Amino acid sequence: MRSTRTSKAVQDFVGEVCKEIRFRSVHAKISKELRDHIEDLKGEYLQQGFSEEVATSLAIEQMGDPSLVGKQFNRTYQPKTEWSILLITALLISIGGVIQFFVSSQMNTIGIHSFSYFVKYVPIGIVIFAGMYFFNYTWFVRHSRVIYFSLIFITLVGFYMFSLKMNGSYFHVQYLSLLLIPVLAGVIYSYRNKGWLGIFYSYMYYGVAAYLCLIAPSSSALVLLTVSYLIILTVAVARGVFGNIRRFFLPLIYTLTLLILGLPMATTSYRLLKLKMMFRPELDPLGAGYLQTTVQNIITSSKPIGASFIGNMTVEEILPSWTTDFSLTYLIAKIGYIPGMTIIVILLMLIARMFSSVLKQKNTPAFLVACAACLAIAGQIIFYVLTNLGLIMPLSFYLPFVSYGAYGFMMNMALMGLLLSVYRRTNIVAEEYPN
Amino acid sequence: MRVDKSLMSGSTTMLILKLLDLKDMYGYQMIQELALRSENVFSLKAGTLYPILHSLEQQGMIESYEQVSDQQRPRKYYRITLKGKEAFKEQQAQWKEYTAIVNRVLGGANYALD
Repeated sequence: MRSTRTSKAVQDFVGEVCKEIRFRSVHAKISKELRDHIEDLKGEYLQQGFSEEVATSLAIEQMGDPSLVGKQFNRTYQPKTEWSILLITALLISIGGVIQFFVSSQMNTIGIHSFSYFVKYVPIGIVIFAGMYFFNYTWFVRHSRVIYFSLIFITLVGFYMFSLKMNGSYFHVQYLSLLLIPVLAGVIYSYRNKGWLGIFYSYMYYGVAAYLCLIAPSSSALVLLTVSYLIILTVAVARGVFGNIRRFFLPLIYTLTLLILGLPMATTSYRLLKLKMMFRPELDPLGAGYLQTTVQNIITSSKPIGASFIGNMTVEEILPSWTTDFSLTYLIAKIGYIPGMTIIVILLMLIARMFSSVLKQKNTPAFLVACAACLAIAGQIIFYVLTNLGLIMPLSFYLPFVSYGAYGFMMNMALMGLLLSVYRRTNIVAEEYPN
Repeated sequence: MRVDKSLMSGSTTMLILKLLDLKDMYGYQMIQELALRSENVFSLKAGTLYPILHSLEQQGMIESYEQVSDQQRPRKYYRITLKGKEAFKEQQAQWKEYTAIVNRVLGGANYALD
């Protein structure tokens, strides 16, 4: 009877403290530490011969004013804002807006007024970003398997019920697979401490997603998904998510993945041709290597500042999809390589800032999810830039925040919202999640 | 002797880092150790200590881990990091310089030697 009453006094004290602390996720950790401390103090007073009740109240008195203590804790546990990433993202969106405006004024005869779409999809993207940013991301981590299956289900619905085909490929896969990258990070974490079996299960999740990319077919989605998954898996193993696993098995997984993906690629003659062109595009300048050779020609004949011509043709005449997949190449041809390089430098700054925000995450699920969101965005940027400089065989990528496209924009805003949501809560989530 | 609290507040962080530089400790132990080493002049309240510990942990100066000590419930121990050690050295150097100057102003060179 007495012990319940005295523990109620402790409870009251801890409750008073927690009332001042805004983020409930840290309440448990703080309460436990304070309660332990009160127990220690109480033990000392008991030894001095005080009664249980007196010892408890003396111990609580020693702790200090609960609301003052709570306020001090609250000051410690504040959300963090990554201003540099927010600013660079805003800058890139503005650059995208200027480009779309420029493009729209160039091609009003063709009938696509990309700027008017841009003006419509940007606010939607910002709403999505804000939603992800203020939502506690740990919910996504805890429900990653359910989210995974929902995304797979939506993808399948897109296959069978709607005609989402564009240029012979289901385009929705490319966008949904972007979201699958952080979801896979959550799935990996959900198999923590499961050893090799955990790796195997998470690989199955990856495998199904990869298969959908393969039949879409979207090679860009497949490449990004595979590279990201393997990196996240490696990071997870290195951090001991699966328990003690011998690291030398990882190269085995890489090789296996390459073989599995290589087989369907190599058996299709068209794809094989594409693969060959990847390394020697000049072998077939009018066929499969056409795009890359064209891009290379545009880049090499570009001026530091100002429009350049290729032969006596304009860039619009010889470069297909210059409004989307080759916006950067187009920009370099249209206004010069110095502005082009400036944009690339801004993009690299964004990548650097994003990775540095990931490295600040000490808690494992936060680190994995942030790492995945960062890889998804950075991966698109890197592939896009390499493609647009003619350095690799063109794959269809979206340049995050810059190039035209409502779906690409919204997905990347969701990823960025997730990344910054993790950063925001760097200090205010509990270390581990209950199983 | 009672010392004005405001004199202590500026150096609390440094004192905590000093304690952890000696060995890993849990919060209760730190308060006792500080009282012992300061001959009961410094009585740190738990309510002041823990917010400071948590903020030091966020800054990467210290780390915490759970460990069971002498057959009791697991306790949360704190350990100083490399970054914390460097910060401590820095603070200590600043403190020495500061007190030397204060002493010089207060009573000439001899005052500090008393």
